[in-house]
Amino acid sequence: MITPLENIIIKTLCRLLIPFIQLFGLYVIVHGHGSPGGGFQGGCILAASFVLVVVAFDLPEAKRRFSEKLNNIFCSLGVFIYAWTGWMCLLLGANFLDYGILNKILPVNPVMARYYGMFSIEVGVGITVMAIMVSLFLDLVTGGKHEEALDE
Amino acid sequence: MKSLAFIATIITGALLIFATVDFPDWGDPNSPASLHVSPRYIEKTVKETGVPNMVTSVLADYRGYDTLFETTVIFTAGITAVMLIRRPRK
Amino acid sequence: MGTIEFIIGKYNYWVYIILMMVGFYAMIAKHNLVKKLIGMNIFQWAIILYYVSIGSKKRGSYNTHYSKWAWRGYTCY
Repeated sequence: MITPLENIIIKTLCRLLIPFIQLFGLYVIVHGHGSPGGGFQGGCILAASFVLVVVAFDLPEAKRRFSEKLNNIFCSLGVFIYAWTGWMCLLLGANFLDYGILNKILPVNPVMARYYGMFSIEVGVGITVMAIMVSLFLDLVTGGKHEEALDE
Repeated sequence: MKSLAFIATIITGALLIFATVDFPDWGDPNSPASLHVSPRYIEKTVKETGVPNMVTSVLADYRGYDTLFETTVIFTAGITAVMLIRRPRK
Repeated sequence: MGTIEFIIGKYNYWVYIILMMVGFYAMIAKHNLVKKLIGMNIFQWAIILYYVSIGSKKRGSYNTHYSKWAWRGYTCY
């Protein structure tokens, strides 16, 4: 169902370009505090780099780099990181998702503790968005038959 | 069928336009949307959270509970697609 | 001229409601699935622009604290 692309120019160019797209996606996630960006936008850019691997190379090549088991783990890891940050605030004595109390375990003042709490939830959101978009793309492009699509 | 849809659309549009008679004018600085809680978010975001970007501080700190369930909705959409589209291997 | 002020003050809401109704008609009256999805996309963007127009003010700017003068008149997003 997916015919491999046999063009040497596209393969070489994409092999050079994909690490920079991923680096830009990580930059957008981390710089959500000072410029437009954040977790959702950076997760989409990271998923776009994976779509480029599938389009330029073959599907088994993409499966070799990002297996389905790792994809399923990343889907729920992001939501877990988000809820874990809120639960740590609850353990230390404040309300749920009240990051000001995190200065008891991090060596910063209460204002910067909210800064680092926001950073950790943006990382969680970015991981979940990337894994879900990759999973949706692979479902739709193989028509549901992940392993049998390679045999045709 | 199409004429019935057209009549329903006209009635809905007329009800919505009738409801805008009481709305504040466009660009009114005394509207309730700009006096109730947003001056506090705008003035105190650097002092209380240390983040200069107001969009991120409202999304992730002042209204962080909504973002948690937005992420859960994305997760549920992915699981629904897995349940409906993937077929079991023989 | 009370009528002219009334129309100038509220015409943004009317334009976005008309766009919403165009998308709504496409969602319920077309039989092709792709046309229904296009109608849903039009409906979604009309709602987003409607909410942005409720909070926008004259001489508004993007909302990041670049300097002390940024707090004077900005869009609430």
